[in-house]
Amino acid sequence: MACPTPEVAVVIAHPAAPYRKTAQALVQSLERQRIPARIRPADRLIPPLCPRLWVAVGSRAVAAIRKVDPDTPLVAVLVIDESVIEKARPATGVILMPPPEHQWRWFRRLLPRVKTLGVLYTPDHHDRLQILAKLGQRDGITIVPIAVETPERLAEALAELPDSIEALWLLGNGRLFSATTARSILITAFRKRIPLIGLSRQWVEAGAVYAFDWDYETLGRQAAEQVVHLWRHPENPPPPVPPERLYLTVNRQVFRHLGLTLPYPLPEGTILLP
Amino acid sequence: MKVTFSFPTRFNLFLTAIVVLSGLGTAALLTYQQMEQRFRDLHRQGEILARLMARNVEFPLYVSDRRTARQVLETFQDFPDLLFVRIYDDQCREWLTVIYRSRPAVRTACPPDHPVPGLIRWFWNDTPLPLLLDAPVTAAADSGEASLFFDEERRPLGHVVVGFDPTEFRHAAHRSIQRVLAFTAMMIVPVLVFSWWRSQRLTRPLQRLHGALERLTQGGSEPVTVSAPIPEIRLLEEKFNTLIGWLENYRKDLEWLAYQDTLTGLHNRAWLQHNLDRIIRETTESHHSLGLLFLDLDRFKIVNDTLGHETGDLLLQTVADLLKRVVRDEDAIVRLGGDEFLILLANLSLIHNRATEQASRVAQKIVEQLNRPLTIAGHELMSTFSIGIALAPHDAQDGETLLRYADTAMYAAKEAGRNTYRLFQPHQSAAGERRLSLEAALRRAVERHQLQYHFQPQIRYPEGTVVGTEVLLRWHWQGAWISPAEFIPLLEETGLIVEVGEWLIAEIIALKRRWHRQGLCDTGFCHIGVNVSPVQLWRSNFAERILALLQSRDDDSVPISLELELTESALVQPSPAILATFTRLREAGLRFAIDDFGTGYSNLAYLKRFPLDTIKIDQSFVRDCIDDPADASLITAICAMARGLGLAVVGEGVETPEQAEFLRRQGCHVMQGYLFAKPMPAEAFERFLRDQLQAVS
Repeated sequence: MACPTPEVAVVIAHPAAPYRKTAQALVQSLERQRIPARIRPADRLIPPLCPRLWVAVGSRAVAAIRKVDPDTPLVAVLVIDESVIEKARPATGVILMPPPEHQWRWFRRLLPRVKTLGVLYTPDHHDRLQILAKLGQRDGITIVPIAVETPERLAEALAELPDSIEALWLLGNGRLFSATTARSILITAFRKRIPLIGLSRQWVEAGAVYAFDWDYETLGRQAAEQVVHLWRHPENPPPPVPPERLYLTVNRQVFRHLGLTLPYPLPEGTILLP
Repeated sequence: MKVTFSFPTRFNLFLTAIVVLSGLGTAALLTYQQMEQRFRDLHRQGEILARLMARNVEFPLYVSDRRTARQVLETFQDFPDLLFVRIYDDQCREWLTVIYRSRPAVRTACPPDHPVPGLIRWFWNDTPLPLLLDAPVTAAADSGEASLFFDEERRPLGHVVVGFDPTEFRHAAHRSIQRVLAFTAMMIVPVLVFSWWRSQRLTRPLQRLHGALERLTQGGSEPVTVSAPIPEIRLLEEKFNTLIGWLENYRKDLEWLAYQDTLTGLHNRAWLQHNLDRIIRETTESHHSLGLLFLDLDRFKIVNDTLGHETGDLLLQTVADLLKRVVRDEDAIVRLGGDEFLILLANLSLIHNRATEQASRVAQKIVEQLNRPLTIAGHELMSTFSIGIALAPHDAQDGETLLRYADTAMYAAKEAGRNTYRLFQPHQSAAGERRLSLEAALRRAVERHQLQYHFQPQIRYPEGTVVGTEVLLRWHWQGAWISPAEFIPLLEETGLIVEVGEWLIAEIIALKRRWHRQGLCDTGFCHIGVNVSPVQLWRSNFAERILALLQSRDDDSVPISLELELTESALVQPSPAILATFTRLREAGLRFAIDDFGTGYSNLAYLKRFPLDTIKIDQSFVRDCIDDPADASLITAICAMARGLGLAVVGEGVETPEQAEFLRRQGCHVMQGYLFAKPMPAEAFERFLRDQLQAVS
């Protein structure tokens, strides 16, 4: 059976709002570039599928695409870090995780009095832990790394959090830091009165002191730029890029509860909760 | 035994049943709804609790931390009715069970299969099972960035099964039922009190109406006042009273019709039967006497039959008006029927003699009032009463006896010559009883043809030849001959005379034919005289019946030569009908004779008007004609008158040759009497005729 006209197939991993917003922004940008694009759900990739280019919105979309087509170039967006893209080559994309330096700057600005920072991490994030360690050393802040290899070890790790740490930083994959584990992590932080730096706006809404949130339209536009580049130069894929635009989301109640003071002025676009 | 309840009782019982059933029904419904709501709440709470527990054990189960899970679950210790919670992992292995309250081991299922039992079945189960509710325990899928947004898909991690103790629920339900039942009972009491009060208000007027109806059926006719608060019942009361008014009017009309004689406007026999005993009782109780006058209009039948019923009715009305004028207002006049009247004289003296005088005075007054000619429909009539008087309580204390005694006294008055009154005397009672016995025996005798007839020859004097005979009825009863003067009037009063007369004529026709065949009539014997009562003559079909008998004979060649003997009273009212009867019978060959001439009606005009053949001089004149010049002169005059009118003369009761000779000298040659022969049976008369034949030959 002959393939339909080659196009950009946008595969969406999840019907949740971040995925939809990102995919819509992506398609709109491609339409402006006159590149035909079509959105498909990840669980409905039924052959024959022979797009000229894949766009995966979310890591599950990446896995689904590579399951049916391991060779066609792929642009991934709304994935946590480069490791997902690395496993899906030929691929590029836009990752969610901002550079550690960027995060560190905001940490320093929002929690300037923290001198001991606990970092819950999984071994696959050891590189980022090293960067944080260097930044801490530079700024005189003690980094207390707490390695958690599996979720089963998380309860124990939380129970044994050193009393010295003044804030808790999370470095890990989605298996360790999920909705299931978030409650215990947040409860532990709340009980120990330790500011928890969240991983997203949802974490802040659940009790984290602050986190970054993404501008999903910008993520879609960034992904569209990657697509255009690959559309025109398929032999020369661009490297993955971090998000260009982030919002700061702050839980003022947690700030007050922990006796912290918000530094003013806050960056433009900061979301204050509640 | 069938128990009958009154309407209010039935109404209240019905209302009680309705209230009780409604109350119990409502209570049951409310209790059921309440229990169902509680059950739903319990179920809902259980579901929420199960989900809450599932949420709380999500992380411990995810990380397989039983200690934390137990700590978490033990915080639900104080949740009411919570028996246990059991957690299964995703392989349906029991991972943890926390028991909150002691309870026998309960089986739970995995994968969960705990259908929600029906409330009724669950509630009434003898050994109530715990209410089991479950909720899945899920964990976030390992989905990379999705964990950031908390929107990631979830995968099953296990199940939580929560068991609730139904005991408290059942106790609460029982308490609820008891409360509702108690409330219902408390509600029923005032409702029933109100219903009883209300039903009394509703039914009391109906009961009054019912009582009025009862009284109405027993003869009462008082209007009823029910004072009902309900317009419909007031309307019913109004209509009821209207109906009572109508019924009262109808009752009066019916009473008038039942108790009044429509011809005269007097009370009738029914009124008398209904009131006589009461009047006697009341009179006696008031220490007075009651006089009962039994009046019988003499010879009314003659008027009725000769002048017609209309004239008879007018006579009765005239007599009734006359009686009304004679008696006092407090007295009562009753027409028993026909020509019989009663007068009840109230409040006579209790002293017998004085009461007798008072009653006699009234009777005499009546006799005097009637003892003069009355002009009725152009006819001048003489009408008299025979009056019998009986007094209560002196003669009798009950109505039936008193009436019978008055009747007896009335017959005594009749026997005394009519147009008079008689007071009841005990010996009259015996005579009355004999009269009743005679009447009954006479009826039987007529039915069985036990009456006899004898022949008394009529002799031509001095030749001694038999020219005819008179047939005389005879009755032999209880070993004695009863006088014709006693039983002939009975035959006339009972009407039996018509039947007897026809029977007698039929017998004579048969005898005459036999005698003719035997040659017994060859001596010149030609006619047979038969007495005819006025009752017979005045019947409209008399001529027709006689002619029918004559035509029924086998041999009409034999001359019958019947002579019908009439009394003067039979001719007292010469009507066209009687004249027509005379004419028809004479044309058939029958002769007419006046019997007992000179003793009856004094107006001799009838001799000219009726086509008569013979005058029979009464035996009372003949008996004394030798010794009493007056009787002799009368006989002389009668014979002369007969010759002048062209009538034959027969002397009756001739017993001596002197009498026979005297009659012969006056021109009377046919005689009848013991001088020649006594009345004799048919066989003897036949022998008498044969002897006559032999003597002649």
